[in-house]
Amino acid sequence: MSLKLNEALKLAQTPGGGAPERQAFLACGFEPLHLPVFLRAHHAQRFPGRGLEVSTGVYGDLLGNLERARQSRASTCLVLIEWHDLDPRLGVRSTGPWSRLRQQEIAQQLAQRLERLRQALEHLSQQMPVVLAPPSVEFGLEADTTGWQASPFELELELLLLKFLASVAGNPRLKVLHTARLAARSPASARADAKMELVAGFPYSLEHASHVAEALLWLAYPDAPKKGLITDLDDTLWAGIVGELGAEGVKWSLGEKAQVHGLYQSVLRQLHEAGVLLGVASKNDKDVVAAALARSDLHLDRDVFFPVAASWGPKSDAVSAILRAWNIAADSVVVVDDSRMELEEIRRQHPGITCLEFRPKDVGATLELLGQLRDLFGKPSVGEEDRLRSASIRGLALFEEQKQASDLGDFLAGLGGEVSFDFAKNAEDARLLELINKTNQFNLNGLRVEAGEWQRFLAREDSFVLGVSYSDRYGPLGTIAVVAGSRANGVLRVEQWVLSCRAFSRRIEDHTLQVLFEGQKQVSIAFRRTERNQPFREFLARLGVAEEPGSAATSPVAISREQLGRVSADLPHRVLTRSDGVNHG
Amino acid sequence: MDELEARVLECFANVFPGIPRERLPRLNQAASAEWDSVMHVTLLAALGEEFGMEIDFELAEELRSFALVANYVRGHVGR
Repeated sequence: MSLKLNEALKLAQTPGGGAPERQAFLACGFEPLHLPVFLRAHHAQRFPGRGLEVSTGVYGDLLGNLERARQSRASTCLVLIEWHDLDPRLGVRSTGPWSRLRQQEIAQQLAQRLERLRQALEHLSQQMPVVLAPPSVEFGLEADTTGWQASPFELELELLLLKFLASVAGNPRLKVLHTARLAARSPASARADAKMELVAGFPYSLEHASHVAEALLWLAYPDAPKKGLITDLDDTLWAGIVGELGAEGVKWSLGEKAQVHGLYQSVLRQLHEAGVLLGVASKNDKDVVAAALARSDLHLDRDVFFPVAASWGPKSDAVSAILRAWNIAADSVVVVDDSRMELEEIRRQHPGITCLEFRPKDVGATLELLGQLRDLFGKPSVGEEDRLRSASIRGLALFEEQKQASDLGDFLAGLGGEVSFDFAKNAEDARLLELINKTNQFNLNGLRVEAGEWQRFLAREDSFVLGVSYSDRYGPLGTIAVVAGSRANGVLRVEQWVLSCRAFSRRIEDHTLQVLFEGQKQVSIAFRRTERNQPFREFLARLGVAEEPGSAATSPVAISREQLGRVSADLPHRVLTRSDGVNHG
Repeated sequence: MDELEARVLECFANVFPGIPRERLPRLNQAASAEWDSVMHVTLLAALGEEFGMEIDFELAEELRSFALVANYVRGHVGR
């Protein structure tokens, strides 16, 4: 939502409130004028109690500002490009004779400048995450054609720009702002303020500056993506009531005037492929549901839904069962249902859950809902770990069932478990940071780390990172734990330690502690009690570490070899691989 | 201080949060380190937004004190 300047000036003064202040560098070639104010104001709205410091560079030197950003103490760089940064002749502050010859020259030089910019951005992104906003103000002085007709020159410049953007968007540490989303908020006709550009070198209207600032912050500091989606069936996944029409009577195709349901199914399929957990909560008979989900013309395989909770009880009970099976909290989950009443009942029982109404009669609303799903679940990239997650959920349920029926020691010994430890410090491995920032239960202190801080941490000589992967006869779980910290003089200090809830009850944390002790005189952990880290506290209790009552601050807790001995006897799994990239001494 | 001056004062307070409010009615650019060219443009934009008026930036160059700004706004608001 756009802010007024006076409103933004007030919000920008909001005190930080104690949380560490974020440091961002705003790199552009024009005078940034109101942008730092709008950035701080939107940040204060989205993150109350946390300040944002915005540094800026010098006028007219975009490339130089990228280097200044690289040398600054900022942990994120927000880059804005306008056409006149690429060639001053494309801006209103420069004048000169225009000719076809000149146009060719501009196009040639633009390609070279974009290449230099690409290299500078690549270099900068090694240091900190980068968010890039492409030109948002049109250049309009091309004179050959009428304003209604796009000239070859204009199209050629746009093509060069698009090729450049496609190239830099492939960099995992760089995010490009989606121009279509910005256009939906800030129409092209209301973006420029030519008078302000001539007077002060600032090209944007106040409203556009506010929209750009808000968009940059969404890219730089996104909300954590949701992990699971629970869907209703009747008049949501398909049109019609399957209990009345039968499995063959429900529909989702264009020919049957039920295309919105087909589109919804396609989006669910994409979410599944991106590792999102999908479950069903439906008031129906199980057999009827099973028959309909088995239809071969469904746009997604029935196995993608797990669990399928079909019953006549309250929907909130079905949601509870699904959350237990997934072992994730309600605030990581989205429920989609066509009944407002059912959604309200779920919301009351599961505060924090995101409830979205599916309105099949309103095509526009349905498309908007599908866009919302993209925003709620979207992530910069999808990797093998994401695909493993949804595949492992069935194995997790079977694991829990069979664990209950056996002696735990025998059960674990018979798993054929393999734990891999990897000390490689790889800034490109987004999975490690993702795990740290989304794990709540087995979490040493609940502290979150931003991408820029992580890159700097990895660059430190005394830092270490341990990624832990696991697999057993129920299938591979992928990378399920991360430990990070520093080491010096035989003392290993752990600042981060998380273990995915999918890997609980396997004594992976015991194996991990033993590995951490190797070659060390002492291991110390920066523990902090949080509302949700009970599983970590249970681990401390098994070690015999007494927790200080009522302590809310992070405090170092030394773990002795004697305490390690309480958990390291008869470890059940085979340790498969160990990178030798670290000196434990 | 009438209502118009109070609204001008509010804009000054937004743009110069570090200057005590009671000093703002006597503020002039020559004696204020905070009131540089960038803050001058910000102030004019804030006033333009608050009073819904187009500010003539050439004339506005002369608006070097709270009193001059308030007079300018009084003379142009509602035109």
